[in-house]
Amino acid sequence: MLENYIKTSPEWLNAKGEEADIAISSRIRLARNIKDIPFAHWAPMNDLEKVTKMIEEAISRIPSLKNADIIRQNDLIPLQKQFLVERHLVSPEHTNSKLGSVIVSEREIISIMINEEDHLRMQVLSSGLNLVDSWQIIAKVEEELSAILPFAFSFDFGYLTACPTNVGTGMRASIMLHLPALSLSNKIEKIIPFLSKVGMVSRGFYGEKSETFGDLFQVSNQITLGKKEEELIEALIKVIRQIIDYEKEERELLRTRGGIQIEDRFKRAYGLLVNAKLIPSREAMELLSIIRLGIHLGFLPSIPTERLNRLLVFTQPAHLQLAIGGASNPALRDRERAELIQRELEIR
Amino acid sequence: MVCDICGIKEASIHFKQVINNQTTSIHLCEECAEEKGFGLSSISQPFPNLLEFFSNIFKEEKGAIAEEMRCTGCGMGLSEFQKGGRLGCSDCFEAFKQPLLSLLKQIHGNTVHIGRHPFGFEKIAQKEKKLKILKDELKKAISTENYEEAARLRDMIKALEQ
Ligand SMILES: [Zn+2]
Ligand SMILES: [Zn+2]
Repeated sequence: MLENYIKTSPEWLNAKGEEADIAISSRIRLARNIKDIPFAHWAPMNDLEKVTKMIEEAISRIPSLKNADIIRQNDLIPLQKQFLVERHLVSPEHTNSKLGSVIVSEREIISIMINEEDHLRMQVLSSGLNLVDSWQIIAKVEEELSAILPFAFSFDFGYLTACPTNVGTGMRASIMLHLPALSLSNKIEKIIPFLSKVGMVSRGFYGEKSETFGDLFQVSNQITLGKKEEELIEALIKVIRQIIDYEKEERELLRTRGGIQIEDRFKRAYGLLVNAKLIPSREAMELLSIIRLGIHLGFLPSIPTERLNRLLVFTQPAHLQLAIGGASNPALRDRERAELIQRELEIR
Repeated sequence: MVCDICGIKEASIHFKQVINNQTTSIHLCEECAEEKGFGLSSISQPFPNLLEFFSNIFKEEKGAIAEEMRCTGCGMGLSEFQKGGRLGCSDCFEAFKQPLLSLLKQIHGNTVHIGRHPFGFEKIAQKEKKLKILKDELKKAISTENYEEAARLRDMIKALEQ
């Protein structure tokens, strides 16, 4: 089944949404649990089996998930598990679930993790700054499931979740931002602490514990209790638009006053990506970030944003290995990575 | 119900504690709860030292060794929650309500949900609201010794609860 995924590109990488150059993707995730069954991390095996059965049965009755794939963690080898993480279809924690599975809709727009720390983690992923549409999609799926599945809910606390940080709406909305100009000028360091003051948080490309690389920042709501879903989304959009404006101002400054130094930086990065024989993962992310900005500012030959987006994901280790059919060593991967990048950049 | 510590004021905070498979309830007034460090204002500390608190109570009153606060729904103990940061089941929210309230206040600045509800929940919510109003009225009727009204309210509550 995963062979098909390696050949196709998910919807969220297509760079079609609003502000898609800076806002790479939007994601909304809802956490839900089934009433009267312990949370997945604490439940005995037979409860996890029951939960899986209940949810899969419910999902088979939802029209928008009719042709969805069911992928079970227990059927996968570590490389395949890693692939799903790189693809943003499951969390690293989910790969260790005693009985985890993930439901993936067409073009990977909707995915539902079963038995992560909560019984259900449903998410919608889309391109660009697209939280309003995303909310409508996931709210509809949730409503349809809610008519079939009894969700754990209390008057005071709302939707009950294993972690107190998710209780209430169970909703985490986030935007993946590419902020190379703010990073270059170090102004990003002023923005990140400000986020926590307005109930938001910034993380790396691969979620909670991942560090930031390639100037990618995932900004999301921190608060889930005491505010309505729409309010939380609206507040997040406001903050995101502000950050995007700052990034644009900073880019304009670079374009007009960056001088030959900045041009040199872009062309060096491009030169490396086009000519190097071995490109390690981290270096690839850093160089791709620089040329993305260089292309945007008109210093480098134009390359479609969609292709640059794809490179962010398809140059990851498990993607590279599955593309050539199995596990390989790091040196071979660095070579595969260089070749892939050069294939994608050469075609103009 | 009066407070277990001062024995004077009305208890408004209630805990359940399992000791040697027997459930013991503890009832405290706001002042005593606050003094022992887990009233609503103890926000700075996510988990006030409940274990110490319980061991003190049981040493003083029963001479028994205190066991920790435990959820009767899933068996998770408070210390397991503190260590892992995750609750075991829906009932944990009731079992660890007091420490959770301060924690939620700290994380979200809030303790009450106002967002989306499950399908068909509005009806249930209305019923619960009505029940609460009737129960408050019943209390009032009893305290003013209006027994005729109290009987009427009791019947209404019974009918609604079925
Ligand atoms: Zn007292
Ligand atoms: Zn529990």
